[in-house]
Amino acid sequence: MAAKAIKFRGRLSFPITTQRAANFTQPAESFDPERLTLLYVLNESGNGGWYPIGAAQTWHNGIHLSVPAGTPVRTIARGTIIAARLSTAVSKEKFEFGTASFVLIKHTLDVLENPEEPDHNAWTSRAVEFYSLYMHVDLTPENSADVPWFQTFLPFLKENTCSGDILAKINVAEDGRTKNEKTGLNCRTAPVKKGKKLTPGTFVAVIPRGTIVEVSNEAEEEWKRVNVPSMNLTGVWVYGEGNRLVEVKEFEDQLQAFQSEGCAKLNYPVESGEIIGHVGVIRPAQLSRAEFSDVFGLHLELFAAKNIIHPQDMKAWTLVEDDTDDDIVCEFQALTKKVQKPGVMAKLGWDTSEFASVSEISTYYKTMGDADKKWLRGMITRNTSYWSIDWDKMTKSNDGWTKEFECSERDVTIANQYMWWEECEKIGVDLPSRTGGKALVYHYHPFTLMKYIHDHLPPSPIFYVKRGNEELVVGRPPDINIAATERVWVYEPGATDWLLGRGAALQGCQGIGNFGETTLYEALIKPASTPAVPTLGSASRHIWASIWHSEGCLEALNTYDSAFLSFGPFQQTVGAGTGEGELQGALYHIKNANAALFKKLFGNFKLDVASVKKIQNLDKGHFTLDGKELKSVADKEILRDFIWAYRCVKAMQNEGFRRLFLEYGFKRLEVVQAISAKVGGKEVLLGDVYRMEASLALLVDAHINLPALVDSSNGIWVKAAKSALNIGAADAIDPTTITRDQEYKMIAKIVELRNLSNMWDPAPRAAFILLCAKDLDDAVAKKFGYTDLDDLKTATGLENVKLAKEYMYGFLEHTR
Amino acid sequence: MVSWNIPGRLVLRIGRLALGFFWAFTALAQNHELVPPGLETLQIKSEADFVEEWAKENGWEDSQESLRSYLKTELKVKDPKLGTVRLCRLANAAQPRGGEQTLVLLQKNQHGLFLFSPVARQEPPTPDYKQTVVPTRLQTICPTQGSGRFLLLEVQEEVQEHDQSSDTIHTTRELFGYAFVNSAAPFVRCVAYRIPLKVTRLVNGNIQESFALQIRFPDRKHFEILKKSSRLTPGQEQWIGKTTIED
Repeated sequence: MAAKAIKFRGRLSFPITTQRAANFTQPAESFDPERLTLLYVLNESGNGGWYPIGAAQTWHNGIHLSVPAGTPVRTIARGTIIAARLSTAVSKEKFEFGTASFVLIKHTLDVLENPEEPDHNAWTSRAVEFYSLYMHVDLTPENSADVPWFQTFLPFLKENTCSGDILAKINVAEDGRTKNEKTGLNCRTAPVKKGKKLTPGTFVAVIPRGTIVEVSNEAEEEWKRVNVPSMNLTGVWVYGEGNRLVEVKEFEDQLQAFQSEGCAKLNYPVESGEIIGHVGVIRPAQLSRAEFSDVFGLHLELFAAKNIIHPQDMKAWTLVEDDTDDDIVCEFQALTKKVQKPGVMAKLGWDTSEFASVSEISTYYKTMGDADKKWLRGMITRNTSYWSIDWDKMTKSNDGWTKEFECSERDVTIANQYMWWEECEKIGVDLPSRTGGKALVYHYHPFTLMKYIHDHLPPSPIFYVKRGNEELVVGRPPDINIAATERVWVYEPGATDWLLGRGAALQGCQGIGNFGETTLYEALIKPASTPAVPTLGSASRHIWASIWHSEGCLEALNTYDSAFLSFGPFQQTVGAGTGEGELQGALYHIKNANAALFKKLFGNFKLDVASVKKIQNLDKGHFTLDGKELKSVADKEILRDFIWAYRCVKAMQNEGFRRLFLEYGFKRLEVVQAISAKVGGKEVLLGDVYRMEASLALLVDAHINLPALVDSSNGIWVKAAKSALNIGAADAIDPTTITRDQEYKMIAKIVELRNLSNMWDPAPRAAFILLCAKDLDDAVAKKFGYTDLDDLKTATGLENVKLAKEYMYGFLEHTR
Repeated sequence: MVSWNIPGRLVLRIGRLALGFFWAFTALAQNHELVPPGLETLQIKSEADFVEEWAKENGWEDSQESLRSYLKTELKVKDPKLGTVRLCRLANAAQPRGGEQTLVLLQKNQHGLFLFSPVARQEPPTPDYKQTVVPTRLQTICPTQGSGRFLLLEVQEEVQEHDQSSDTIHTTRELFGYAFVNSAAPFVRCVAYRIPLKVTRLVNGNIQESFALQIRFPDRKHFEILKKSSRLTPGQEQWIGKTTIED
């Protein structure tokens, strides 16, 4: 067993929302195969931009998705923005075919060759490298306030901010502090010359370290005049000696490219689902000839230098790689007869013997049968990238096509404005290398490729540890460094990573533990904001809250001891050795109360409970996994796998489960109150003898730790009562005559008897419970059997006794 | 969520030097690890910063008064070669179930303050068991021959288990040894982690059986682990033998 190095953060997101009633604040949507049909139809029923052949019977290597203006465009996977371009607004005169802005992202993801394999140690993975192009994206500064990657550029792209000055980054924290404690450089009004001496001007603001400023060539000795567009400051002065200001040439080049509507080489890491722009105007050439009106949408294109589909998976795909010339025309005669379905291609490809009109092609896409749809969606075309085409050359070498589509010189000029491949190559963007001078790449229907990648990603949840800069996939305790208390994190697509637990070992067993964060006091008294905590009566609530120090947190988890797995505040376990466990009893209760919920949280994962029976008044049983009863130590070991700790935590996050689980645990108070004993020949109930919340809390605490201490014919509650009431061995207890002072005495005796017992840490446990008492002072502490309040505080075992006052919560009643 | 590890931001990693030593030792292991992976010595800025980071990482109360109460020195040794070495306990008794407690080794010398963590951990009790971890001895040892300096730490770990049905308590008491050596690096480096020097089993406080090892340091390049009792546990058997310490 070992931790495995796999890039597992490959989750995919939809580039646009699939919600029909979307608003612009719609969060990122994780890729969901169930919603694919809608998106395929959105493209195929549109007025152009079909895959893989467009209305003009050229290869169209991406898809158009028509959505309302302003819809955020999101990355389909994590990657790096390697290039982008900003274009001015669309007009009849310029960029007639739509917004020329684009964002290009390079992705490298690990996919599994055996995604069905449940054991991460047996996974075999391979890296796939591909590009996603988002064309016709609106990146105008006024619409880009929510585009993270663009924020650094925005202050410099507003009108009248192009000063032509040198750009530099504030590199020091030499003087001043901002309110938020970020250090930076003071800026001031112009320095004033007094005689030979230069005196600094008046303080204006602190420019935080990292801010990019425009540095003019105006200077006075080491003082430099700067503009700070991000702070709306113009003409302020900073002391620019040494490396206080560092030129940022790369940023300057990028900015200049954006300002001149050229391509910028970038290196911005982005996460899956991150907004990279908004949909802009999209208008296929053929449609632009009609009335000039804005249509909004996105052109999404996925391509790769090498075919990223595994050879064994190719049976579900059709590879068309014969059209390797340097135009973009999908010629029927030269190529399309070779493919499996020449009939389909004849309808779409360009055929000099049988011209098809735009409307015929449109009708075909809208009416084609399921088999044709599947075939076209699964086509991989290796052809020269559309974005590398020289349209002058293209039209000259394809006279027939040019004539048929009435491609004018103006059209050619406009079309060339949209190309970017060659320009990006020139500025060093990391694009696939050319083959024989041609930008030949493999193109995929974006959604079909996304589904393929989705189906081959490591299945979530992923458990991982961090070692150095690596994130390694783990599945069970032997995979992690226990001695170093390595932490196990959970990765789930679409959610923030969270800590499952940290490595621990005890009794020769290894696993993970998590202490949790919500104590019973916090859950029940203050702030009592945890949802789905059962409503308890006042006394029950107080009693359980007072045991906060003895019990675990709501989220507590432990798989490192001999009891295999326990979770929740009551620490119910699977049971050490071959014994039955209380945890199974609790889950049995939930299964009976809400079978569907149990099925959803555990049953669907083949975990069930069996052989549940009453042992010492508590329901205990065994688990079954995939039908096999987990009785032996060897069989129970599987419950230390991180997936089961995860299932428990997820269950506890479910409000229905939490309510039932806690309800069941809280019933223990009733069990304790119902304990009876024959004293002096007369049956008496614990709950009748003890009426104070304080005494019941001490007894419940003792019962949880050591049931026999309370639940026996000579339990401590009987001994304490006899002692406090001063009754003989043959005398009965009459609960109706017990006074408040007598119960105080019983409390003092219970504390004493607990301290003499085999309970774990009885003194601090009792002290923390009694610190919760209402109106606690020296007198009350004395009634509880302590010398004074300080004596009670000392019993907590706190290193600094003064800190005990923090835990004097003052809610636990001590009246009968 | 609460976490337990050493705060990352605070530490200045000793990096390759320590890692190099670490691999040298794991390579020597025969059928068990002398020092488990992932344990590193770290240089820290100050105790106060370390405790504050620890408290924040673990969700502990971080008032100055509380922070001052979390780190307690339990054993200390001063040595002209090693500086001051302390075995300290990080604990917050106000945590539910007494919280988890961690023993750490701090070394202060002219090169700075160094931390080896965790030496051992005391897990909070459950109704079934209670663990107690107590450091019992910290001493510097000169090898029998030649120069050099070893540091031997002994920590007693006891786990008591309730047998609820018979109201008996089964106890396993283990005395673990940790050997550190003075090295070319500015800190002592661990060469043997958790040697089970003594294992004792008790029922209701009465000793049932006991197994023991002894450790010798013949010279600065070696340590040797020998049988001290006629019978040993399988875990102890693995440690028997002489180990060469490589530079």
